[in-house]
Amino acid sequence: MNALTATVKRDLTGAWRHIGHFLMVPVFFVLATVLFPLAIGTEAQLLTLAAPGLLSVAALFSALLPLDRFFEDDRRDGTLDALVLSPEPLALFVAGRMLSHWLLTGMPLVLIAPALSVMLGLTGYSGYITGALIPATVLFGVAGALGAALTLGAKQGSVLLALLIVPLYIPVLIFCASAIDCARGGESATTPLLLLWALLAFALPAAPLVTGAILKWQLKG
Amino acid sequence: MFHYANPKRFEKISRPVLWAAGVASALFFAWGLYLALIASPPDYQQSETVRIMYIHVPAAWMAMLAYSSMGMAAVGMIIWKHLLAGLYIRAIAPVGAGFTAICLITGSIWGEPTWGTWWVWDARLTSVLILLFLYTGVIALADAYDDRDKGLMAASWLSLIGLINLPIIKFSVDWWNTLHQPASITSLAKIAEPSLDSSMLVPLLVMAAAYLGLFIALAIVRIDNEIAARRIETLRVRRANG
Amino acid sequence: MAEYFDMAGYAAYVWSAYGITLGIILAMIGASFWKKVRLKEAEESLLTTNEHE
Repeated sequence: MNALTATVKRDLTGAWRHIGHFLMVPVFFVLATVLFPLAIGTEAQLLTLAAPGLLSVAALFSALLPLDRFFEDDRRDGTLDALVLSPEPLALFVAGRMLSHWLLTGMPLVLIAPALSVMLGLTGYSGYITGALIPATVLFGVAGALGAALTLGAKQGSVLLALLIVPLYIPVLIFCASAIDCARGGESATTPLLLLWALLAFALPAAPLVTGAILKWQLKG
Repeated sequence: MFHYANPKRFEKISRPVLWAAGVASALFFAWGLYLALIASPPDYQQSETVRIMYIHVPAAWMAMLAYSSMGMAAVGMIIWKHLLAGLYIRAIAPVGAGFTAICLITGSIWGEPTWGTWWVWDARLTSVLILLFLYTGVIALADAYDDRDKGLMAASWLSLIGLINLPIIKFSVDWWNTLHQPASITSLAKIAEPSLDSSMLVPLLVMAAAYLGLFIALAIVRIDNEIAARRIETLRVRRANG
Repeated sequence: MAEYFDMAGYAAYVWSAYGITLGIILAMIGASFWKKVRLKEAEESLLTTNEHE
């Protein structure tokens, strides 16, 4: 078992102890989505037009919530120090952490979104919504890991983290919302979907390596 | 160039370069303002408001240039541990943010008579707005650690990541813009950028040179400040340790 | 002359844009030199108190 699978196993079994921390994410997603009709009215056309953007923004905000604990527990109990000293590349640990993070916080959003979209008047686009939200939520988590590594031990870390990764989130947001919106409008969603998955293909190998390098610097000084 | 990466050596060349940049900038400003406000003609469609372009567009160029230079300096800091590169990033991030603010504010003022609204979600203004967030992040992160050197490295990492992200942002915003703008505004946006013949291009370039000279001068003063701050920190630590 | 300052009716826009730009530039220059002066004072006071020890 290498560092990646070991990390995923440890995170998933340990998640039960912090279950509230993780449940908060899909709960917030539902709340945020449901609040919009209450705020902007139930005019069906307006809701349907706005739905792709609303869903994507709600997913973005939900993704921000669990980020301050991304590496914090491991830093505090010394696990990170041990990992930095171990011979296994830190990138594997980071990749494992990103995977378990997505399974716990990203995948629930992907599963709930089609049902929520119906409430926003967006029926029959589940395929596009899922196809857009999978890379989007993974990318939100990946960028979040980068931000968490950069702000490890910084003053006002959580606020700073949000500020730092919003620019990383914006292209993802644009393509995710556009993909769903193109589907809604009957246009081809191929370009934004391809761009999303291309971003994912670029980020998946690169981000764990960069995050690992940043973590190594953080702990070794 | 690496020869001057040593802060002590930097201080020796910084004086003359500061004077040269400062004087050059002042001269370019004088000439540029004369061209922008007096010698250049009003635009066929936008009348006198086109004069705002001469302070708006070069500011956008400087905002982008400054951030790119921060990204490149970040490589120097991360890979070669050149302290001067890290000091450069912390020194000029606020200056870059200043040019970004100039670009956004003048863009907004220009937009009201041109498009009838104080803010337009066109590709350039939106990209520059995101750039402002990028700058704010670097400024905040550079000061977020008690250990100032840690802040330098963190800010360097962020600048590098931001630099890689910048073309992605530009591409996505440009793409988003063509997707959502009704045709009328797109053509209005083209009108707002009059085809540049020399009577308009020259003032633009002169103002750009003025901004660049100002940037270099400010960079030198602010890096000197960073070096002095480090010296003071060392003195304080030495005193505290007896 | 008054006609020139009027900027074909757009005076408020053109002059406020130039004014704000000048303001921000002066603020950047001012802040940098103010900090330079303060740092010099701090360093000098640190060095002179060191001598007294």
